[in-house]
Amino acid sequence: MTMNQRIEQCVRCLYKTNHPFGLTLDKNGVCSGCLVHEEKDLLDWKMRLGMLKNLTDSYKLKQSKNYDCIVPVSGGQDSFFIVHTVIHELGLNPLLVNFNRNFNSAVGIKNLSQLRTIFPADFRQFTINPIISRKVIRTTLANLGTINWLWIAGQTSLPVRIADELKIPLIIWGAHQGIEQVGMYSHTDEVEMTSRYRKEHDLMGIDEKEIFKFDPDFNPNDISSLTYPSDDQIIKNGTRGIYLSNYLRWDPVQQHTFVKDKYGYIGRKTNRTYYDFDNPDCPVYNGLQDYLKFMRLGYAKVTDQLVRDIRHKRIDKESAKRIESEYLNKAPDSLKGFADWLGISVKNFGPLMLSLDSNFLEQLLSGDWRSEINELDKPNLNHIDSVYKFIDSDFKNFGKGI
Amino acid sequence: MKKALILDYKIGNITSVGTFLRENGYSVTLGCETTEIKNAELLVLPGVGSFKMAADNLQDKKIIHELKSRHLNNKATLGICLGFQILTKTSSESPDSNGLGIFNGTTTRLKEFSRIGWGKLIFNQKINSLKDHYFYFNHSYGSYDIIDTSMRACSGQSDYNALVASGSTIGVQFHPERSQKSGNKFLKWLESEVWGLND
Amino acid sequence: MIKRIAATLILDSNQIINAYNFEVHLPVGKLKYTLERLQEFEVDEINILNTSHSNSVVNDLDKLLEDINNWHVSTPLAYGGGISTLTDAVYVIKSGVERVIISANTFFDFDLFSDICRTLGDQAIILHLPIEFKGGSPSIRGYSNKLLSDVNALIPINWGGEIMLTIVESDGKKFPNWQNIGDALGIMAGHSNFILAGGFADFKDISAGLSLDQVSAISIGNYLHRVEHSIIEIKQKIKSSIQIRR
Repeated sequence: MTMNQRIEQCVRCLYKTNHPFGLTLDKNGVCSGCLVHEEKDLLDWKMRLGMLKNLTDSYKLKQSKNYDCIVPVSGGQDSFFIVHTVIHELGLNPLLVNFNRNFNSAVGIKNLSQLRTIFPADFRQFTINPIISRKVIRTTLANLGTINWLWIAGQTSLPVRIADELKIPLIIWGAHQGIEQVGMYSHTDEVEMTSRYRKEHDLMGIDEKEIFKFDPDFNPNDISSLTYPSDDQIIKNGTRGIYLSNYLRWDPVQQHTFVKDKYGYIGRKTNRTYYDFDNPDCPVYNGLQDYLKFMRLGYAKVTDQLVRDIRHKRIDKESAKRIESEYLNKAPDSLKGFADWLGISVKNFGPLMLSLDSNFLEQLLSGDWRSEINELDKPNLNHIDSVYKFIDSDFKNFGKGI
Repeated sequence: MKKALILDYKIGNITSVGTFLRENGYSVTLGCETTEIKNAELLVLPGVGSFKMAADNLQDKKIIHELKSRHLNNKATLGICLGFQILTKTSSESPDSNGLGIFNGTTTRLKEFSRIGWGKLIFNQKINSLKDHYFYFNHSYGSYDIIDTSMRACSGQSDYNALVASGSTIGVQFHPERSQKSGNKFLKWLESEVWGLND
Repeated sequence: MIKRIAATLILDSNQIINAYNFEVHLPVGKLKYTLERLQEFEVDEINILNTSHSNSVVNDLDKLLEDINNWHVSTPLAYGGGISTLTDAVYVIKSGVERVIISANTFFDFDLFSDICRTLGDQAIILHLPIEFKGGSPSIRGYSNKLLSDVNALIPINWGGEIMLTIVESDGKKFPNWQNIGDALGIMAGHSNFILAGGFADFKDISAGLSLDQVSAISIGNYLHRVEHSIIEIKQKIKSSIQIRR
């Protein structure tokens, strides 16, 4: 999107053409995400499940080793649904793989241990050096306006590294966010995992090879555990990542009901959105991280969830707009505990956020992964003092790396 | 750092040639002053466009003299595509225009009308380091009749001159700056085996 | 010369898109990241088609090409989108792109087309023809009264440029329509400088396309973005009897 191109909103949902993934509108003003979503009610999902089984069966037959595939898990509700599908629908023997973010909520710890306990699958977890973890997060917070970069870098590279290490070629992911949010592909394209998507969309255009430019003192060895395998390694191993959402009618709300009832999955209430089941494992994802997203992009998790509900015809656009406006400017919870863990005093955190904001738009607009923010969408920062007052009991677990 | 001069005679693809040279360790300037031409460690004649345009922009006798002197003094010079053609005497593309005549031959319309794509170089002597490399060609004119060369190469089944060397003046019909890693390899080969321009 | 695998990137509002039937555009991402990967894959050439061009090719191109040159792309490039004057075409070539992609609109102003060919050289031109089969003889998309046979009548046999032939109905699909391709190539039997596009995603189809005498290159579009190593895998799997750069 160039400086001179107008930002437009989809006539059906809340997304605008400045969505960081990109968004197109058809001649009727309907966005690519809404258009592709229509496939969910048109495709023959029984047939597509059959296609998925044929695909995964071919890996089952080939494998004489222990694991048929790798399933990356976070302990979120998607993880439960994916593991259930892989084991009980597809009959595969997966290795579950988790990149520990170092600061998990009590609910997240409980859910992940529930997952490890209930499902008949081996589980492997990697925890990065917490000193390095904090250093990387401080760097990405100051330069990219996100605390989540490290976890995404790790969570998207660890399964591919383990695939290479153990010679397991197939990785099974849940939803392709590009399709779910902006209709990046047709479901029938059966798009697979690519490092280009990882770098551009998951990692905001900066991968582990480039993060050094923000801090010349960074030692590449510090984050060697994030290194994505080379093209040669991936080709030699035949590594490929597929997305269940291309083969199953993906609806996280329905899936949540299923995993809650069947597996005792627990959500975690947040003050910035109306659903409690998305990402409760991270104590700041729906708080501070979401607020940073709002500052960068002009919309937040509540928008993503409302768009999802509009498309699944659970809510109309006008009601969605009202709900969105109730939540967008809510002060993020969980600030003090996280600030303490990160090694930034709360006093400096506020100014850090404020300074991010004051120069943020300018920095943002000069970067090619960032979006313009409509004048009317700039966040209201008058409540910043109230942020300091809230302490989340989850942070008793901080520093324990569990 | 090695220094390269791109001859500025108002013919295209200066930016891509400049980027190519910088990627390969050169500091790059664009110019056409006689002192610049005389003193450049490496002189590159880029070229995308018409023979007439190139010839019209190289009328200055002092510049022509300096270019010929550079050739006689065996200084590293690389003519790319049109930059190669302008080093010949004439071109049937524009019969009324004169080339520099540094290469003793003429440029004519290709027998196969145009060559677009990738081809290997077939040298008239053994050059092992480039034998598995493909280079990008995109031209409708070339030369078949250049004589007095120290080295030449054709490409594929075509017998025109894909590369010609006369001392340290090299003309290439392909685009090393668009030949990916092979282009970098080619430049390194020229530096070490033809020009003696290693760091 | 050996056959080629070309990557075609369609731009809409400065983002690469997946295109389906020339009507549906789904966003893929920014040009920079895909160019980086295509360069790493050593694709033979990259064609960039800008579908949301403004009235000023110079404005559209300036930022785009500055970015391309800053990103160190050393792969042959072609650019098209809104080129409607000789000045536009010359500007594209002078900006460092090897070839300019001319639409049917500009082609049917044949004096202009001839001027562009004369000024830049035939080899600098790709003529893009999206072909529709709506009963009767194949026509050029957007021009129900212009047939492929009309194009054939205009282009001289010794024309040194290339023609990108896209079967519209196959755009975005996973397989080409061989009947349509055969019909189109039959009409243009005197020419042997085609880049085929539309539905090329499988190495068997790409092999079959490259095996045709009239075809010099196959253009891959949406498939580029669907799997990790599209170009590498295709080149590895293409029939060994087909000469390509491996």
